[in-house]
Amino acid sequence: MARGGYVSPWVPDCGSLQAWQPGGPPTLDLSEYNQITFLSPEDQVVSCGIAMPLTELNCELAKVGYTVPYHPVNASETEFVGTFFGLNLPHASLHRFGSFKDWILAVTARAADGREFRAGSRAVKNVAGFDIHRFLAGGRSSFALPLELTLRVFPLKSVPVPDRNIKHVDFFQRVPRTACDEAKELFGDDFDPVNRMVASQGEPQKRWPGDWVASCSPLRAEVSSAGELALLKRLKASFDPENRLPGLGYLEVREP
Amino acid sequence: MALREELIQLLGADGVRDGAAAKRVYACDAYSVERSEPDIIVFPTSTEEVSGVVKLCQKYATPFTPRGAGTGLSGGAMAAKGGVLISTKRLTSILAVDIENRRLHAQAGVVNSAITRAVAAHGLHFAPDPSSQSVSTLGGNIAENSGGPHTLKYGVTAQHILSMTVVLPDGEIVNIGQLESDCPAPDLVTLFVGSEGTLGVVTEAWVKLTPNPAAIRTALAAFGTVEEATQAVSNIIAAGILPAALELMDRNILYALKAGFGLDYEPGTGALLLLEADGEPESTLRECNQMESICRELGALSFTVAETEAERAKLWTARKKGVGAMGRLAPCIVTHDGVIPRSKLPEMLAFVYEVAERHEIGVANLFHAGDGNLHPCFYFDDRVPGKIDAVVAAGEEIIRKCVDLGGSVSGEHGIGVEKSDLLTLMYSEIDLEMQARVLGLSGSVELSNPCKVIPNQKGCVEHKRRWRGVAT
Repeated sequence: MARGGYVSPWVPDCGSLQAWQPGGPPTLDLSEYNQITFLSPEDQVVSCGIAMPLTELNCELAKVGYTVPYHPVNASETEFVGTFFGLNLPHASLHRFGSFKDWILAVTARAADGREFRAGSRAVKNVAGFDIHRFLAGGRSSFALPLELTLRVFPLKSVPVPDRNIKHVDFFQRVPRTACDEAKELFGDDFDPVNRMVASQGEPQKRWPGDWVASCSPLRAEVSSAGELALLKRLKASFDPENRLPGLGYLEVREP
Repeated sequence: MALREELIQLLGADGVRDGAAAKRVYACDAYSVERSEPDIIVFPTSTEEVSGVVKLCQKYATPFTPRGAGTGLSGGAMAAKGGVLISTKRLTSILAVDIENRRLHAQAGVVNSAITRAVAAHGLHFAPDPSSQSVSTLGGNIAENSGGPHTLKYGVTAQHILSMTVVLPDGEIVNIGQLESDCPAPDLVTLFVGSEGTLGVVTEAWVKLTPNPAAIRTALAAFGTVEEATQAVSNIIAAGILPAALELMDRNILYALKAGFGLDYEPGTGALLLLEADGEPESTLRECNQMESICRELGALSFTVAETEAERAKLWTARKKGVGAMGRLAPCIVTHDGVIPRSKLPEMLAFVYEVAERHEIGVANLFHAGDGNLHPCFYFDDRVPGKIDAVVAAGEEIIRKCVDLGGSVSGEHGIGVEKSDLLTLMYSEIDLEMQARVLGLSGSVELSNPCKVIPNQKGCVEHKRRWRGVAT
């Protein structure tokens, strides 16, 4: 994906994060959202445009001793922060620092009708109103188009960079603790026991009670029940009544 | 048949209350400045019974408000428009414990600390630890997205809820969320946690269990000034340390502790900073030593490390008993909740003192300094004419200042009725319109805990006049 050619909504392919699907809704060039707009190291807070590559953001943060501890196993960190936010995929430091969603303090986004709105604040702790900013993480722009993210950042000293090989991944599978030995046997080095995560090619070989699978090509993510999917569809209709944004076709109900 | 009779048919006479005494008891939660009596209080024992109650409320177009232990500090469990108050006090079963996978399934009325007690023998605990944890319920913690001293490291309630069963405003029962966390899909749990019952009634939840740390080191540093203490907080975080807790108490809390419990501290102490590191023994010791160096470089008058569990409990006494001790200073206390960027703490505290003095109200501060979550506690005599108005006005000034400094109107107490109007300080009209669109996911929400979270809901202005009328 060419630098500066950022388009949204994007359709992710976990192997190579693609910007666009043929025949989809109209694209919108958001390449101007590519800078840090606020930085307060002493408060562990940064705001930046979604079209800023994570490597560039971390390079700027390193100058003041901080970092975003996102270490993807399926994509280069030269990808955009907005892409990582929109997908919220697992990463190598998940067990220690949580997911991308956990660091989101605020989002400025464009609603389906084109108006800009903000959710969240720059405070690292905030329970004012609904957590729309966190809900949008992993939302693939289905509910609103993110433009700017405000993130909690971490002192570089506290963030070891894990050993990992960036590779093509067809699916992620979160494995319950009780199934770790079996997963190790089945997937070998494709199973990360620290994060209890399979990141592999092909199809999941086995399902365990309580696990989840996010497949990458075609993109699929699971919800727990038909009722939950129905609620998400209602919410989609509330945020995007005219279906201008990407649909929820990537969601499927977890088989019992 | 009328609503009351149908509720009795559903729950039995023992499950329905509507006497004057009961209505008065349930007229408010721990935010007692404003009150509004429910018409009926019900005590269901299962998700199905809650669903039945909600369906009856819809049939009779009657508002309903869920309530746990009533320890909320923003009026979230106040029946703003009257109607049916749904108590979760009989939803008290722990339904399943899965030690190997570190998760527990409980009904909403289970007390926070009971979850930890149920798994303590296995070296696990439920991490959210609001000060009310000995009585507050899982459902209440979910509704308000409760925090506590250890959220600096372990996060607020939202990060510890895996999935939940919800009775939607039309009575439908829905399960949301996954048994394993971090699924890369839009996360409805994120929206329901902190929704204060506006999206429905949470009746059950699977929670994450956290392993107890191998080692804990707790220390208490005494500083001459609040500024030194807050600088220590900033320097500790900048050093790459992530403490389990960083709690700050100011001079007036020390007065209260002395008056209430005879506790005394180093002469010249203007602020106490409680510090806790946890994890592996080696790293915990290293972090504690680093924190001591930072505090001493900033001129700490003393730095006391607990060597035993008893000493640790003693160091926590100041923090745990601080608010209770304030009962010695005045008959009434209102605890506020606002958040600011940590670097603004000195400026904010100076403002808090100035506001309190101007309104002639006492104020003491004990708060979660590590994440900038301020809790100014006003102490006053509510029998003095005009004092409640002064307290409300002072609180609003402080919250406005929090927002001006880039913070939030609430860090852990929620919006409730206390702050729904103040949300307009943080959010523009379109921001609030988007917030209100979240209500769209639950369908017919007009009856589901009305007048909470979203400001200016239909019919709430008239009711607000009534609450304040009662309060004054």
